[in-house]
Amino acid sequence: MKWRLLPMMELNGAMQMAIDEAILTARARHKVPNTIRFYTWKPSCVTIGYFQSAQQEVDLEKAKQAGVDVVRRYTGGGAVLHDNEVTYSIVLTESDVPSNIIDSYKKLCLPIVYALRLLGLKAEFAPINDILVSGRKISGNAQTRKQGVVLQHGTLLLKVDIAKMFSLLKVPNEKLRDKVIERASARVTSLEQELGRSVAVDEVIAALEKGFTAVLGISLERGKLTRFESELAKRLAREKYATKEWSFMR
Amino acid sequence: MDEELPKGLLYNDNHSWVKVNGDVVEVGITKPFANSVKEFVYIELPEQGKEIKKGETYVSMESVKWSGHLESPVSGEIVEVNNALFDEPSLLNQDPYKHWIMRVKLLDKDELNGLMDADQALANLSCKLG
Repeated sequence: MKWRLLPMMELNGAMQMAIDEAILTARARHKVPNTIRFYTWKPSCVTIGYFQSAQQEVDLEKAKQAGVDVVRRYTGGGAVLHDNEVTYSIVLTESDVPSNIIDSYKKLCLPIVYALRLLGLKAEFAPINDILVSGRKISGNAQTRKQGVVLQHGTLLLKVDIAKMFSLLKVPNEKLRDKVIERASARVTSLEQELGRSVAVDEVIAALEKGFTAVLGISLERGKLTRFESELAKRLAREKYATKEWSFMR
Repeated sequence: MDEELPKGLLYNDNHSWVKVNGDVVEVGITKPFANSVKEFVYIELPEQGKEIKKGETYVSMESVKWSGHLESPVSGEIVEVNNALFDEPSLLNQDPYKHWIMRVKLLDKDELNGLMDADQALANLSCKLG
């Protein structure tokens, strides 16, 4: 099966989330094939899950000072700081994934596990939606479904800065902040930490491309956003993801 | 009504049922769907008084590890919303046929012809699961 591979895009969080939703809509209307893309965030961005509250999850003042955007995702799950990472997104029809949720995560996470192994790491899928290296999380993944289409996007950490992460994210109980940070440091890792060298975005994307083609048994055809998608994405960024009404609606 | 897909209801292709009672219909989610995504933890309900079109998102939900946006099977005015679900979305897991999500005053009754009956919905479901 032929899927579309979009060029790597370095953009702000509102635009990245808008593009993911625009592809989902285009796929639901049968305007485009199943699609994969890779991207990075400029500036760095905290995304919160669809049902979260920005005020509760993020220290908004600190984020502003640090020049970090805050954007609500269309997918569920928790708050994430997108800093030194490669993000992927996959849009495909629901009939191309197992109906069981864990199995569907597994199917779409195994290509990433494969890519990490190509890079020389012993990675494993940890249900429901994490990928671990030496027992520590290196990739988190989130899904949403709409109109018969699945959007899954996720991260692969190049470098991790737990101190920065927790200067921006709130913890449920301030008294336990040190403990939470200690625990997170022990449970999260990055490519740089595991490989003992810095890793370029291109190198990771090349491995991910191989992972997706090999594990999903697909071929990737380089393409670009259609006019429909890019216009819809610009509109969604402007009227939805970049607005206070959206990011602070809860 | 403890069957998987009760007879007498109509279904769309996106996990929702419709119970017809004159011009106003009740809309909710199906049991096979509720079972497959496990316990709902968050729900975003539609807005009472709003017009909704068939195919538009009427409810967004997150279960333990699933999140999605479901399409309305009908068009019309949302005349009532089951607000109890906001505080306790897991009611939908307990009995998704008792707990409707919204009541809609239909714009066009003929639209119901495009929905499936229980047998068609079951066949559709088995072919998806297969």
